[in-house]
Amino acid sequence: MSKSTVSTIAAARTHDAAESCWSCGAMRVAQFCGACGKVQPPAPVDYFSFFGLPPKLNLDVATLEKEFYELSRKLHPDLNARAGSKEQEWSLEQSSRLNDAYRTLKDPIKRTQYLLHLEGVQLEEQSKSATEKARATGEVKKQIVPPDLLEEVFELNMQLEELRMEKKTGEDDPALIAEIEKHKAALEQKYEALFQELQSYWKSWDGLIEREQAGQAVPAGERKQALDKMVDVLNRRNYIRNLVRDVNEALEGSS
Amino acid sequence: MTTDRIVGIDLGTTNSLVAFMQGESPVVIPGEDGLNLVPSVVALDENNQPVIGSSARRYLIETPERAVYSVKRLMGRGVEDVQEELKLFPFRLADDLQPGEVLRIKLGDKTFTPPEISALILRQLKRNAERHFGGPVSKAVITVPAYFNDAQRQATKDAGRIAGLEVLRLVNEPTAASLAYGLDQKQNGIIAVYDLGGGTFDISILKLHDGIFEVIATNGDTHLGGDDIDNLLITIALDDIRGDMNLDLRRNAEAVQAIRKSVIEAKIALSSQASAKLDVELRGGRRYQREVTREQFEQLIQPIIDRTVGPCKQAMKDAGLKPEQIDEAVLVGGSTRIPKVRALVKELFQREPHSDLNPDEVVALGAAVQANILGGGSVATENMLLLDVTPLSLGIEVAGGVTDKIILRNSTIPASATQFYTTQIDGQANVAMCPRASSAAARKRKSKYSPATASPTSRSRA
Amino acid sequence: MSYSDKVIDHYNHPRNVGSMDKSSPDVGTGLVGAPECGDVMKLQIKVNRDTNVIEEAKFKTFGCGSAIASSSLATEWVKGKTVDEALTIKNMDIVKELSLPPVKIHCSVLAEDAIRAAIGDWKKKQESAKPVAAEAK
Repeated sequence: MSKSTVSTIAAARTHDAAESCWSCGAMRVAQFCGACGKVQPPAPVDYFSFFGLPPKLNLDVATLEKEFYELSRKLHPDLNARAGSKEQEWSLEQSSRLNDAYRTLKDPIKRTQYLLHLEGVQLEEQSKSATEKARATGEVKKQIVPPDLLEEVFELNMQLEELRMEKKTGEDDPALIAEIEKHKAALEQKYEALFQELQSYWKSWDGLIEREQAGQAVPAGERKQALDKMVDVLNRRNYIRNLVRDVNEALEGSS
Repeated sequence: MTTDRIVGIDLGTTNSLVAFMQGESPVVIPGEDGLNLVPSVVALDENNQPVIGSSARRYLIETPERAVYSVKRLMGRGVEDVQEELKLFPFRLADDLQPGEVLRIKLGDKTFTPPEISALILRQLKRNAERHFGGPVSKAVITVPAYFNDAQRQATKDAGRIAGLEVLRLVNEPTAASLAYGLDQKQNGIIAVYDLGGGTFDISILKLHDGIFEVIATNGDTHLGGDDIDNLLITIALDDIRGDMNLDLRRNAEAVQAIRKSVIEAKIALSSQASAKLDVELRGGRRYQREVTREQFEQLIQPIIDRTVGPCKQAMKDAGLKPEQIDEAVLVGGSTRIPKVRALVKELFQREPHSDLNPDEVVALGAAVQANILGGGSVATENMLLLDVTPLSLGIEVAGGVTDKIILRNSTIPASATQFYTTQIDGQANVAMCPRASSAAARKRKSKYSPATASPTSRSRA
Repeated sequence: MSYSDKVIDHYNHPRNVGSMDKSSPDVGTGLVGAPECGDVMKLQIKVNRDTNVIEEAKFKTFGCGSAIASSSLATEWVKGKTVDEALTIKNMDIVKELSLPPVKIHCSVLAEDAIRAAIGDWKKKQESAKPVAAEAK
């Protein structure tokens, strides 16, 4: 299930090193030739490897941006508009790969989701297989999200609905609005706290990768545990995100 | 370089221009009449020969059934999309149009598709450039509103092809303008380009960094511009004439065009004067005269220019920026000459807008810069690179008519996405792929079937 | 986005929206969530103690049109069925009936989860009520 990202990168690197530039024959660096600057045919690597990065979650976005600009200057189709048709095609593919990788990695949540995807975690599948298990055993499916969070989400949604109805009829209930405002502040705090929690799991994940890089063996259980914690935090975050958005929408116009 | 001469073209709703990079700066190539702007007007003369630009203008009044303007509004659109336009513009569609067929417009007793009419304008620009260079021109960069959808872009490319031009790139108008702005500003920072033209409105927010022009967010309205102001004033004038003189001229194309000419002159005058006079000679020696003050004018147009506020706020939201984080607001498009529009931009971005550039020419100049970059660059454009975005989310229509968005709007292009789909029934051998583009506006239109009972709660997905 | 006709019908005319007394011994309540999208769904059933037939079903869902339609359909389907019959409803049945696209399958999973959770809650109540009933005799 969980394929090792590190070995993927290692494989890609050797693959790269074995090849030489199609145009001048010099050793090929990555997406373009370091010697003559020509765009190279795309190699199937993940987004981290594309930027020459290890699959760690703490990354400096400013450095990533700089790297993105530098690579754009080499790969963008506008700057290869007069090259041969093969090169133009590679430039288009490499450039779109670059844009996809940058868009994914610069955003902390997308970056985490992408790593989970690389590690073979499929959020949707988890829920579906739990339902199938419940069906087979006749037991009640264990909810991925804690019941008290579900309860809270449901209650606040009821209040929001009340607020929307009142607004439609032109009524105004300052007490209800105050109550929702209070919830909103608490939710935003929770949202922020969840992100901090996520970052703490990044740290343990990155530590694990560093150990692997140093040649130490990391037990599969430990790896899975680090991933599961991130999945859990992202799941809870989805509810809070929707709630904050809905609260903001409902409050807009009522003020 | 001579064999690879690439020009930049602004194919506008009201005016079109062609420009190129002369040495290290972009310049507009004038027409035979010595003017930089070629009015986007096409007419057929007495011998059914096409007349383009300033010389076609007189046909709008003399033989309106043989002339057409603002055809950009019809590019890439079907009969069902243009019903609103038909109420406001004197477009005369071919009588035998079938639903789903490409639009055809009547000029005299001939019919033309919108790309064919645009091609006539492009061909005129091509001729102007060829006369200037004394040699053939076959490659161009053409600008389009950032918020144009795929069909509208395709129609623009078709127009280029019909005119005998290889269209190397379509560049978004506000982005093109930013290239012209950035060429002589040479500074890093965040800029907002507010582009209110004859028929379209675009707002783009860009990050300028050592020659990289990275679009962060873009938004707009492909049916909002100076035309809407003209139409409002025309409607008011027609009402006046009906009320005061008991004359119903709404179906009188010549009179409407005469009024249109007069309101446009008044509109332009009001940008520099406190009042202006509408003065139209009507048939039978009668005259319609009315004084319009700037204050009245500003009150009238407020609802129209207010429609630019929503897209600006959405673009800032998408970019994750507050007004104070934007270093400069750049004005593009003829309608930004209106003082009230400038005041609105100042309020929106909390700073005096940058207005050193000629708002009519800056898009064409930017297209020339992009043409130069594609042609291999020069000293002035060295290190310049434009990273643009897709203005609309792109998706694949899946079973049940749901569009599964796979590339979100404001993603840097080129972009790619991979999504796995399963077949709907066992043994299915074929699938139909239906790419879809969607904007916030389209979503709003489609969400009209909100529940009658307010019981279950629905929300739209980001 | 556009939905299938059946989804739109359930969305515009949702059946059995509302709630029942959670504390009633005959009422089972299921509150479930789909973490993929943050939807929440509450489904309640009222069961006849003698026949085990579900006599009444109510729901309340906060989520997209497909989630609302899935739960609306679920309440329609469980009504009149015995508890054991209701447990045979599978999410793919809902997918087929509503022509849900793959991206909306989780909505049907949610509805199946809600049925199971409500029945589970009711069963739990019956078990804890049994000794009390025995004493009363």
